[in-house]
Amino acid sequence: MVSESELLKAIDTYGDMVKRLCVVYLKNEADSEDIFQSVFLKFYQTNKTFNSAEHLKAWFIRVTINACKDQLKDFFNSHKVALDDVIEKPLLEDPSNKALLESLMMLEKKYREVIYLYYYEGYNASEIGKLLHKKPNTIYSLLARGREKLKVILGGEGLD
Amino acid sequence: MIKETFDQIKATEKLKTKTYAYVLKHAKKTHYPKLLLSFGAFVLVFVMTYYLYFLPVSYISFDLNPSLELTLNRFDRVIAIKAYNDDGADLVEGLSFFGADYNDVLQELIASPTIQTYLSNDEVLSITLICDDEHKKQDMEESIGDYIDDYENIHCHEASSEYTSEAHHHNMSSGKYRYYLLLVEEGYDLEIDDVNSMSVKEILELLKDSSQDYNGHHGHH
Repeated sequence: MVSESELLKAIDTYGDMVKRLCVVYLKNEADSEDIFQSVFLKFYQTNKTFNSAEHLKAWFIRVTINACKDQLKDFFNSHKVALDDVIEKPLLEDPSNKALLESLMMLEKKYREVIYLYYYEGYNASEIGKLLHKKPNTIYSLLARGREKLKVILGGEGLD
Repeated sequence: MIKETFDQIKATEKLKTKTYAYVLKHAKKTHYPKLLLSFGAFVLVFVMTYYLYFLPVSYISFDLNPSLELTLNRFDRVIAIKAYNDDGADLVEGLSFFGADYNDVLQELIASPTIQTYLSNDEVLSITLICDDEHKKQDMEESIGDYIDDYENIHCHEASSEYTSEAHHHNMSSGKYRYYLLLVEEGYDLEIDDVNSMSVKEILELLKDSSQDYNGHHGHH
């Protein structure tokens, strides 16, 4: 089992990433907090040994995605909060980024996840494929289509 | 630009602290009792299985000159075989019986060259069933009957379980002990060891003699 100091370190190191994944998937503050806590509880109770920091990071991504997907499957997941509630909170300090985040959140989940993993976490298509159990070619086309859709939403502006 | 946007989504210190406390609280609450509970369940299942599987429920005594006794569990599986003389020990040597159906073990014993030689020399094999469950005893008698009916010199009897422990106390199979009691009843002044060394055929001849002796002058040795 993971020690208390390892838990503390993991929350510190991967907390932001877990939180971002929760927001990307759930768009909802209350749910994302529950998932956040459950992911670290799972980490604390795991008997897995992690060979490297990369391995651990990938584990956190996988577990968070699964937990979010389970949450989304929950039919009675009714306590949804409007996106504005999330974005108005200290989540985004700079209002200029709000429009982009809002636009991102308007995309379907399948585009949001690949865009996040590609642009923010810096994974390449084959690594994302492994994380999401999809073929690299699928990832490429999801990225291309996601970018296109985002461009339309943003009124012609690209991601860069 | 997208990087800066995501960069601004952060887990607050408050959430981190809250999560740390949450994890420690819930992990301790759920982890250990669950572990203990599943260990307890495992032990319980183990003990129950042991009790069900290894508890002797019935016995089958197999006596000719070799003398053996099969111990069966409630599933009619052989869990032990005890040899009561050297011939018996030779017979079970190398026999794989544990967990086997008693019919398979009995048929294998009967088919063995040693027993076949005895049977072809007109010796008598006595199979004695000791089981408190009448229904089960009947089933056993029927299924053993299927393969011993071809032999005139294999007899199947039943005996009361109350003598089993007494028999074992005298280091005798239940079947042989039953004969010992019959012989004593007929007035023979015999020691346990005398009967133990006799073949079933010899015992039956003595019993036959005594039943023909209407004057009741026994005292044979």
